[in-house]
Amino acid sequence: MNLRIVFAHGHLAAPAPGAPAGTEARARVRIAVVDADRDLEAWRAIPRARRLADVRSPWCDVDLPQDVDVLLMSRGQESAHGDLHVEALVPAELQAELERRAPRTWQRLLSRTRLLQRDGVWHVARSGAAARLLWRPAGEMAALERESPLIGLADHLARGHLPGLADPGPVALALVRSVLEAHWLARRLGPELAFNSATGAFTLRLAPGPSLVELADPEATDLRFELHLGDNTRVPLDASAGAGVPVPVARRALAWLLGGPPTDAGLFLDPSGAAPAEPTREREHTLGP
Amino acid sequence: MSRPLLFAAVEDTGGLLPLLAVRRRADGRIAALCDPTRLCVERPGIEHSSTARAPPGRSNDVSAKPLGVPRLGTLLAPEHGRGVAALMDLAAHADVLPPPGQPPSERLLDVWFVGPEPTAALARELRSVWRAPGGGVYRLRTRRLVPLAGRVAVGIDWRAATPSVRAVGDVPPEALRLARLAAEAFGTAVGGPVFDWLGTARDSGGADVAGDRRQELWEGARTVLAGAFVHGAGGRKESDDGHVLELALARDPAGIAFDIAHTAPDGSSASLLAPLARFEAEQWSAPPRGPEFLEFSFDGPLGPRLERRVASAVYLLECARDPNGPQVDLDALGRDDGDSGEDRGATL
Repeated sequence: MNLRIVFAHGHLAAPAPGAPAGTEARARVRIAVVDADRDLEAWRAIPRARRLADVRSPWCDVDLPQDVDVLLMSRGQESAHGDLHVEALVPAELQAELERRAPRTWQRLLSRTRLLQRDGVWHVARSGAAARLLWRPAGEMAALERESPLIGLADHLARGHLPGLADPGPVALALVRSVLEAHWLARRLGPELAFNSATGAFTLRLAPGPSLVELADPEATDLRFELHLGDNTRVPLDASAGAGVPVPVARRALAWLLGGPPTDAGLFLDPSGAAPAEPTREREHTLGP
Repeated sequence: MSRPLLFAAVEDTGGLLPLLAVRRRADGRIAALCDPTRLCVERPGIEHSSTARAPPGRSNDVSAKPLGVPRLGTLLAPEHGRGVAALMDLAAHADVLPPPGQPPSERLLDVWFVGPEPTAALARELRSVWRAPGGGVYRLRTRRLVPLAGRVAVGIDWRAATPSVRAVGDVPPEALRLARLAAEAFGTAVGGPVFDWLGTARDSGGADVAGDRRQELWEGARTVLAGAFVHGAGGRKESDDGHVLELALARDPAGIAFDIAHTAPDGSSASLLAPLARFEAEQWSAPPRGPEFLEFSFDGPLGPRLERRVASAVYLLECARDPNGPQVDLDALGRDDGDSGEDRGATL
């Protein structure tokens, strides 16, 4: 028998007014008793139901860390009926937030539960030198790095340079950005781009100079370019999503990386390219006052 | 039947004429070259500038209706607006790029010629390999666009100092004369058959009016001529020093004609018989600006009639992603059997 604490997608809330001193945050969780042998999962009543809605919905809002403590203590009582392990399923996007805003809760989860990632998500991590694309599988805590030339290129672009070229100049940067946006986001050439159909070269219509030549390979499914600069410099650029990276994820990651200065250190996406979220009906149930 | 995606105009010299068509498609793919400096690629969600719309009554033709110029700025500089390369640039902008991660596909492009056969140089240019953005190549097919049965089409480029008139296919001389006269009456440029006739020597059948007097008489003649096209009325213009220009309707075997007579102060006179068609008044309430096509019907009981003023396509360019997909059905386009009206610019 396992006791499972499932954290909801989304963010932690501030402690409710009147919450006991020492409350770090409020979180939305649901609690289940899982019997793997009999393939049974039963929602367990929450320790302290506050409202009727809390009883009706499998989700409840709990104070961190007190309510988690209560649950962990109940383990002792229930283990009289057999071995009871506690499993905590925490969405990837919530883990860093828990660690930051509710460190004591995070320590308890780490030390006294089996802490697992809730769903498989793609994670674009932009901390430090370069953006990385990670796949974080469900039911584990691993973060597997995936090769994505597009994300590397977009990250370079957002930082004002290109792979293998420290100072490409503003025209080349704008050109590469326009072509990436045309291929990945708009699926149409922007009016600022001129396309030379004889050579496959893109230039900026009002600022000719650097050109970006699409490398033609009738069999290839990846997107490769060669940037031609005025001084005969030729820089190969790979704008492929990378093996196994879903197109919607690559597209959202590109838009996020090119979308101006970073507001978050990371972007989490489910395999369909959407932000991880609970199904709509459950999301409507908002955190209590 | 796949719908034309894009109209573009290619002159017989191989240049790209500007084009005045806006084609609305369900998926928002619309493209047109509205004037030599602009390529308009409409996209869903882009609002059109209301000031760019054609004035009310400018044309009845659906295909010529609001020439919405999206707020996309100048897309094609004039020097780019020439040649097949510009046409391909246009096509690349009108086309939807293949989804990332898909192998490149061949994309089909139909170019419809109006008028003379392409020159050898143009044909060679069209046969070369044209790459499509996002991988793959364009396959160009050229076809001849034929006016509807019983009609003749004439192209007029009003922008020229002397409006140029071009026949589309086999056009009888009176249709060309009519088009030249219409270009003179409704255009803004100086020149045309009446202007030339006024300046021609008398022994060659002209009125032999020179200098300022010629300009003055001609301007009067033009006003009256335009009124005659629309209202079927004659008129008279007299200069201060006794030159008289009279314009009267006349019957000639080919239909209604316009008899222009000049009488000099010394009593000598000359006359010019010009063909006349009936035009719809509302189609001519604003001066034309770009190239356009007039379509005349010569088989009516009242003589020639302007059937359609197509401020649009010279050439039709068709993009289709799937070469094995639906093809343009020329016959169906030619019949123009009332299919939503928006394709009417496709035939002449």
